[in-house]
Amino acid sequence: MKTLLRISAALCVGLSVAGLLLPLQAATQLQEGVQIARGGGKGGGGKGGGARLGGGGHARGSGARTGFASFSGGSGRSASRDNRVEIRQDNRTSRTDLRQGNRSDRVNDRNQTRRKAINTWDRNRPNWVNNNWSNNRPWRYGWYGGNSWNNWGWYPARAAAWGLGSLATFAVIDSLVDSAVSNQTNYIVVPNSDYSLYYSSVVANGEQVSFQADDGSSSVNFNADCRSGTLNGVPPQNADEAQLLNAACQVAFGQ
Amino acid sequence: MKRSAVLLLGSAFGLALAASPPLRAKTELIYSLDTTCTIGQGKPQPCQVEALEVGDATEYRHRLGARTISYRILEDPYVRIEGRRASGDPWRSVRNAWINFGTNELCFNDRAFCVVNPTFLADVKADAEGPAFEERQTVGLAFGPSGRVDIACFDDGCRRLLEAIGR
Repeated sequence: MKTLLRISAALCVGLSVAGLLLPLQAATQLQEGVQIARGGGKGGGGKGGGARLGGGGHARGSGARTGFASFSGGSGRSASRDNRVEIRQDNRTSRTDLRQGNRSDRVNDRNQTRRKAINTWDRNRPNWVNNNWSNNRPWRYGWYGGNSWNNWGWYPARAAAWGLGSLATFAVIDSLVDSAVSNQTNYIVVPNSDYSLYYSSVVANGEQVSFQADDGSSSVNFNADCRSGTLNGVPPQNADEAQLLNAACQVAFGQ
Repeated sequence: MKRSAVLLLGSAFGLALAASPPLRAKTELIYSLDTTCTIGQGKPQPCQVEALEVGDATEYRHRLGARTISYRILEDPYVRIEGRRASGDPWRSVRNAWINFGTNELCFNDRAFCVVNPTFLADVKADAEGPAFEERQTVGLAFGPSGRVDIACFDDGCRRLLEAIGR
């Protein structure tokens, strides 16, 4: 009980320091340390990520109560509660917008990042992947040649529907792979497609081709039938898939 | 005997419930600021200010290391500023509050505590809805025992007031 009394007495003395106002000099003098710190006060203001920023730059204020405005000594009436609520609501909306903006930026960044497939050249390169890759393909022969996509049953109608003029020729894919080999990169970006093809993962067996591609977020295994023009057993569902199928078949059998 | 003990416990529980504080008021962070705070005659030290909307009050929490010194502004039914030296302490009305626009400082209780808070000062000006605080250097508020503002002074007026009361 005595301890309690002592604590509350101490609090009383501490918070209600005797005397009304200190001399103006003391109240207005700027201490050196404070002056130095002023810059820091503004600089560290924001928590980032859409939190309300400090720093006082907002012409309308943060909407926080100060208590002083009612005693402005002028004709200006202090902001009403409605105004404050409105300001806070506005700030809140701005924060939401900012957060949404940041989120979209992040998604865009991620999309840009994930467009790039992962290069594992040193770890996964099979022997045939070298300067003379098309001649060194171990399956040696295949049925595929020329622009055989013209013979795929689904092609004319779907290509027309997708507005697809043509699929990449062997010359294009050959050049891409040559370039990738000389750059020691184990994927090519499939022309006019969101896919990257890990060309060194291509393995042919008859007209069947298995391979890996990056769909923009991860590596995916595919099986293609280059004769019937199917991807995982079905015709391509969009132009991206058609380009991927063609690129894999060109790597497997193109010449 | 047993029944009376249960009754006693029951009523104690009921009393505890009745005496418990109301549900926690809705809290929302308005802004936060890394700045400096000064306690008494000490040197300015780093502190983090958080301005929060807590129910019908705006609360300013100043974190200095492990300490949190808080002030809150209430406006209904009249303007009050209350402070506490630690999170669990009771709120007590401050005796006075000072603003120095030149230094971006806000002080309480005869400079027992000062904080550099440009956002607060910007809010004061924004809230006044007019040029009332333009060109002002100093604004002082002194609170009476009831917590209500007794005196408001400005610039030279503060000096004259201090002279008048012999300080």
